[in-house]
Amino acid sequence: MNALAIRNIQKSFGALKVLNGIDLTLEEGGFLVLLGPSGCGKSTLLSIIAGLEDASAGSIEIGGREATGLHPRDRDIAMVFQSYALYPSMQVERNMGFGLEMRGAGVDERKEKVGAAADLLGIGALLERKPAQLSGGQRQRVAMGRAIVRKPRLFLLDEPLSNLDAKLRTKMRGEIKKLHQSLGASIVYVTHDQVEAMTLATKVAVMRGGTIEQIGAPMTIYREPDNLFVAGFIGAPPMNFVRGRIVEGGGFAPDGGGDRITMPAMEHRLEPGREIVLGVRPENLRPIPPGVSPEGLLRFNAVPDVIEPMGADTMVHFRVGQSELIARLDGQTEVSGSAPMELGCEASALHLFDATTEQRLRPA
Amino acid sequence: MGVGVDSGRRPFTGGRLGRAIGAMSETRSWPFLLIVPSLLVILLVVLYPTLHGISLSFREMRLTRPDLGTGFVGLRHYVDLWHDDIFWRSLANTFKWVTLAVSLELAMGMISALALNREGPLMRICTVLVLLPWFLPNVVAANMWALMLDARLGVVNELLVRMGLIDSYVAWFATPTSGLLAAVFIEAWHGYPFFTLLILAGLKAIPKDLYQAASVDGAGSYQAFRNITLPMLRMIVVTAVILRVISLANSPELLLILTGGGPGDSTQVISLYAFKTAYESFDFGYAGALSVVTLLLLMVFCVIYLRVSRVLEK
Ligand SMILES: Nc1ncnc2c1ncn2[C@@H]1O[C@H](COP(=O)(O)OP(=O)(O)OP(=O)(O)O)[C@@H](O)[C@H]1O
Ligand SMILES: [Mg+2]
Repeated sequence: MNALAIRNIQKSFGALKVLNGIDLTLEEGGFLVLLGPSGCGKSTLLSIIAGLEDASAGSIEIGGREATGLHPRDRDIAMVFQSYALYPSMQVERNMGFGLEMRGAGVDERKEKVGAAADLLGIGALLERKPAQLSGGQRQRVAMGRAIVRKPRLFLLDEPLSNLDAKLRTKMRGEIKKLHQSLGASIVYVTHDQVEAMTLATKVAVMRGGTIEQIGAPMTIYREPDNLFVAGFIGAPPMNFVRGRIVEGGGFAPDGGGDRITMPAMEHRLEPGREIVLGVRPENLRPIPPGVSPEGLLRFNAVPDVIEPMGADTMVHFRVGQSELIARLDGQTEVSGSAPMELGCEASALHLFDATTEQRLRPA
Repeated sequence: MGVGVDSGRRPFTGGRLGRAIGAMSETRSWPFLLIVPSLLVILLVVLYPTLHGISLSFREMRLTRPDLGTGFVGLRHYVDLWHDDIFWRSLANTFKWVTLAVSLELAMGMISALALNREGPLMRICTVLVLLPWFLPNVVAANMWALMLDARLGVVNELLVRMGLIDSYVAWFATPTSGLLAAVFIEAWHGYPFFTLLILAGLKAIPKDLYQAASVDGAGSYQAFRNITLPMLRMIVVTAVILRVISLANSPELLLILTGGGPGDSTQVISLYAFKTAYESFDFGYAGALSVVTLLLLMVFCVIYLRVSRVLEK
């Protein structure tokens, strides 16, 4: 059974179309991440799922039950807001138990459930405090606690980590993952941070301008991005792109001049003259020792512009035609500035996109 | 703090006076020197009149009896007050008047602010309309209503008779109860926009996501009001009530125009009594004592009120 099924959700604010027909499903116990740049409609979609906002068209099912038009209270959901939205006048204990209180649970039941959730999150010592007396990380935990106390069918989280500093964010990310595993809950999680999406999700929906560009398992999206936008959005540092055209004999000529690039033999049958975008992830590039000419590799002649040793990895910036590229090499690699080197990439790690449609080219 | 730390450069180099000021500005006393002018102004316009009023209450000053002089009489005015029936009745009336009027204003202010707390151009127009009474001076509002409530030609009587709510014209200010209630109604009509304005500002400052969280938690609108809106407005309401109580306890104009304290002494409040003592009996010493008592009572009220509202918060 699906924890969530959304069909053709559309939303306009006056003349502004914010969502143009969103379809997606989330299986029971799954972790769906809505990923996309600012303003693409992630929060709006989440509010519609929660029932805080009405869709202009489309339908929503939660836990196999028609939920379109239901009041938020009746959807069996819990929500964690970006600002946490803790009730300022209530102590942590009442904050966490407020949902139960509104549903008529008795004092004892509330105490027991809030206590259990607080133990799970390690905030048992904070129950007497008011939100103003908590640190950012503690507030975040209380907000999570308020959501899990009621054991809802579906959790909705809107950028829950974006108000935390980098270190705390990494820590809480781990905790959310653990929480998901231990509770077995179904979660919809909004973020514009692709690292959160990759690490947490069982399913990622990449959004742009009110539409879903691609939806699938994080590694599928990483390995086979459907288009240039998704390819550039997932991965850090982002995928390298080189625009150019196929030349006679199977080579690739980058726009703006520069050396031709030898292309490995591929299943793609690309006629000469076709304009394409070549995509290579920085981590898929590796140096080829001089004098060796292995088969089946895409090869770049690179003169390093900038070299950034980061310990485990070394980032090497170089140019091909007009494009700036980055290679993420092993930290042990000897790289010296200005000495030309050859970098190669396996045919299987190569991404080809049509230059005009920006769609992925699949083997015919 | 940069105060007193030698920055190593001269901010001012022109002339001997300039150098002297420049040197002084590097010392620790400079910031204190800078606030002296404003302190002097405050002393002059706030402290001096207050102290003068207090000293007046210990002296004789009757314009009708210049022969008595303006000598020091100690606590005599206060002893007289203690035995003055009108004072005690005024005190009770003040209490009734202020409590009724401020409660009604608070209720009307709260209801109108909640109704106006919506988006849209229509709401902005309504807000201005609701605020209109507040723009009228006390005296204008009082005279306007005095005319509308007039026992012989008032429009209110005419309307009520036509609607069949009363049989014949009523002299609203002729009996103690209806006189007080009519005055309270007029005061509330005139003063409630003060609460509307402050409460509306408070409402706008409450984050929307609190209501969203409450709605997901299953709270209805009454529960959201009780658990979110009211606590978030607490400081504003407490402040507004204090300001309004002080201003009501101190301004006699409205009652002076509407009832003149009557019928009998039924709407005689302390501020009105003090006003009449000073400007009808020309006994400034006794009026001073009445004012000092009002001041003390208001201070006591503020302290108790703040305490109580702090206890209620917990
Ligand atoms: N109440 C509203 N009225 C009009 N436009 C709105 C309203 N709410 C959102 N929008 C618009 O809808 C679009 C999507 O907003 P939304 O908040 O869903 O973006 P988002 O993807 O959550 O962005 P972010 O990552 O910055 O939070 C934006 O262009 C926004 O300006
Ligand atoms: Mg958002």
